[in-house]
Amino acid sequence: MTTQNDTLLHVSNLKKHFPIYNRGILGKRVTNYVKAVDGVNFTISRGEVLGLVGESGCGKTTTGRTILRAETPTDGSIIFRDNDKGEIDLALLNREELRDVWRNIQLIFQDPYSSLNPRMTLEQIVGEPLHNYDVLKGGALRDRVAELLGLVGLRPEYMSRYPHAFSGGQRQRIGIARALALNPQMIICDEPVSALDVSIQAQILNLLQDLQAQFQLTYLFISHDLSVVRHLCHRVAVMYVGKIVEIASTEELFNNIQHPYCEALLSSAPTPDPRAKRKHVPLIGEVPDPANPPPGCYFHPRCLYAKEQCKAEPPLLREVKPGHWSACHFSEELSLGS
Amino acid sequence: MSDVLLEVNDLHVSFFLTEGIVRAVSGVSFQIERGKTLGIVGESGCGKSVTARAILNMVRPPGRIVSGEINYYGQSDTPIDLAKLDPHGAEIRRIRWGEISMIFQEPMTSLSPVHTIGNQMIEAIRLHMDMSKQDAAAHAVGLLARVGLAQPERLLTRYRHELSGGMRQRVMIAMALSCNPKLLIADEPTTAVDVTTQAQILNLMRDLQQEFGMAIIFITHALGVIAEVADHVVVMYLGEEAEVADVDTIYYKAAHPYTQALLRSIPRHDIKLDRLETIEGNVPDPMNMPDGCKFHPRCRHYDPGKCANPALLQIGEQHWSRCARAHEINPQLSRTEQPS
Ligand SMILES: Nc1ncnc2c1ncn2[C@@H]1O[C@H](COP(=O)(O)OP(=O)(O)OP(=O)(O)O)[C@@H](O)[C@H]1O
Ligand SMILES: Nc1ncnc2c1ncn2[C@@H]1O[C@H](COP(=O)(O)OP(=O)(O)OP(=O)(O)O)[C@@H](O)[C@H]1O
Ligand SMILES: [Mg+2]
Ligand SMILES: [Mg+2]
Repeated sequence: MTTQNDTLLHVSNLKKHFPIYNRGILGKRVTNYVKAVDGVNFTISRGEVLGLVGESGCGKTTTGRTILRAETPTDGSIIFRDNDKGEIDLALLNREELRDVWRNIQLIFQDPYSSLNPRMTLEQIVGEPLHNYDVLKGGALRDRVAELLGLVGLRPEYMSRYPHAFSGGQRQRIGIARALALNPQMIICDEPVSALDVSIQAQILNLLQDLQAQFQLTYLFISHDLSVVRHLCHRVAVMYVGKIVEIASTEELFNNIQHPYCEALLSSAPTPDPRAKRKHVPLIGEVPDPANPPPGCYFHPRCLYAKEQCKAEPPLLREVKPGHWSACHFSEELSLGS
Repeated sequence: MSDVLLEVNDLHVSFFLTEGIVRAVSGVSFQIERGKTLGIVGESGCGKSVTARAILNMVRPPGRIVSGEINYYGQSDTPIDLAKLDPHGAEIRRIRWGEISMIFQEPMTSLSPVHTIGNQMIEAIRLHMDMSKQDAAAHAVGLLARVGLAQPERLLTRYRHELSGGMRQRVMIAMALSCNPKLLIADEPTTAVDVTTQAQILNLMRDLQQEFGMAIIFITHALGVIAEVADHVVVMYLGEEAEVADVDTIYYKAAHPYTQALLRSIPRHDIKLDRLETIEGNVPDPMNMPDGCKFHPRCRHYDPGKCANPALLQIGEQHWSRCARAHEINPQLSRTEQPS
């Protein structure tokens, strides 16, 4: 994965290990680490939507938070091509330098209920980033907030209301308007539609799709829902216990699976068609504890195709076909998903 | 005995609040056959859980069953109307859990945090079956093993917080099966778990149904899950059923604009879609429901001249729609299927 000119973000060997403490008579001691993110590599191009999928606890949110530097990485680099500052490694920045970069990278949260301050009006919530960065004031700020509300399909007259007066879908729109306020280059969307009802989910997905096309936005789109990811993303990365196990363009990934975990994940997803012929690849056992992962390939205890090599040797993420990366020793020999 | 195990007729359940009346369920009718799975699908607040609680006569004040019948053909062809039973009486208590068991929507709140899994299971089993403590414990171990939990003896000594979401859901299923029910009501049993765990639980429920022959009412908002598990489907909107049919008809010959719109609004992992269709607007506030057809403010087929007060119309042998224009909006419904 080389950094090309249109690469906006290049994450290499990113790690975030959380210490596990043991409180004893000698005070707090670190006994082990939760390896929440454990050597993640990927790039995102300008104007691209990269999906990050995987089961609960695999490290999606931690990856997003570490890129944003809401968490300090344990290791690795996060090269971002900033509009104002050029190529910078976010992993090396201090608080003050980060503040400037945060103008260009925004976050949309999963929970539209707890992510908005209940004591602020829409105008204050959506206008806060503009105010914080001293971009606009007074009437011009109000005009911009009105424009942003219009963009996400909310009436500007709502500006003086508080979040409690809005439904879940409307609150998610407010969060999106706020994220757009500073014209960011990239938005990290962490499960933005998971808490929403089907009909509202469709409205928000269409909105995110339209805004992306209109402003050539770049999204890192985190989700556990394969249907949503297939619908919205250009490329998809699949995560398992802190590592990326497969990454490819969306159509390639869904039609030409190269990793046994992704095969199992996809075959577990319910299909809204009673006539669909299901191929079940049963996934036995549980996701390993990220503090004590198994040796070799982390997936081997649950893998239908595991061989001796898989129990000892950790597979690397490698390009098995042009643009299609898989972390399985046997991708070429297996014919999966068929 | 007939094939019908439970028959809900024109059920109305309301909550009487100081701010007004919430008509959570307003005229729902459906049947469930022995050994079959009925799916109830609809968006949040449409009345799925209240319907389920009403079947067990467990609606709590300020709510109550206002009218309607819930005929249960448990032992014979003479039904018991569960809606008319004293909610605290002996008969409903025997049927609850003993014959009709339920997996509640909130898995966290339905297992106690302070008692071991074993104590909770043994107590529940002994309440309904005449068993010694040892026998009940052995029965519990067998059930836990049957739902695929490893080391069931050890599990008996563990607490809720020590289990993963998938394990908790399996414990709930094991408990619900403990008295070999004729009907299992599962309210969103897989909503809080990952797709991989969901697939395991759906497979498990299918296997258990074959083994024990119980009927299942499966409640969910996920259209993908319904397609996989249900024989028959009730689509609910604002406390009413919009459409009732066998699962194939719902997905291929939907005859209510709400069902049609729902199906077109979901993203899919199995086919590529360019754009989702959306249903404009939001589900209305339950205290201020629209007059006439409840879906009309969001309906693209609304015609004031025709849609005044749609009844649930039978449009096929096993197919009902609460849309006055069902035949116009679904050209696939043949003329011969129309009631004369
Ligand atoms: N602040 C923290 N301290 C310790 N462990 C943490 C912390 N944050 C996350 N973890 C652990 O890191 C792992 C990854 O968590 P993360 O929230 O990134 O997963 P996720 O993929 O976003 O899951 P979900 O789909 O449930 O949101 C989990 O094992 C989690 O318990
Ligand atoms: N205890 C209560 N007091 C007042 N209103 C209630 C109560 N319980 C339920 N309701 C109302 O009854 C309606 C139906 O609720 P119900 O819980 O059956 O919805 P649901 O379809 O199960 O939704 P979800 O998918 O969110 O679980 C809602 O409008 C709800 O607000
Ligand atoms: Mg997360
Ligand atoms: Mg419910």
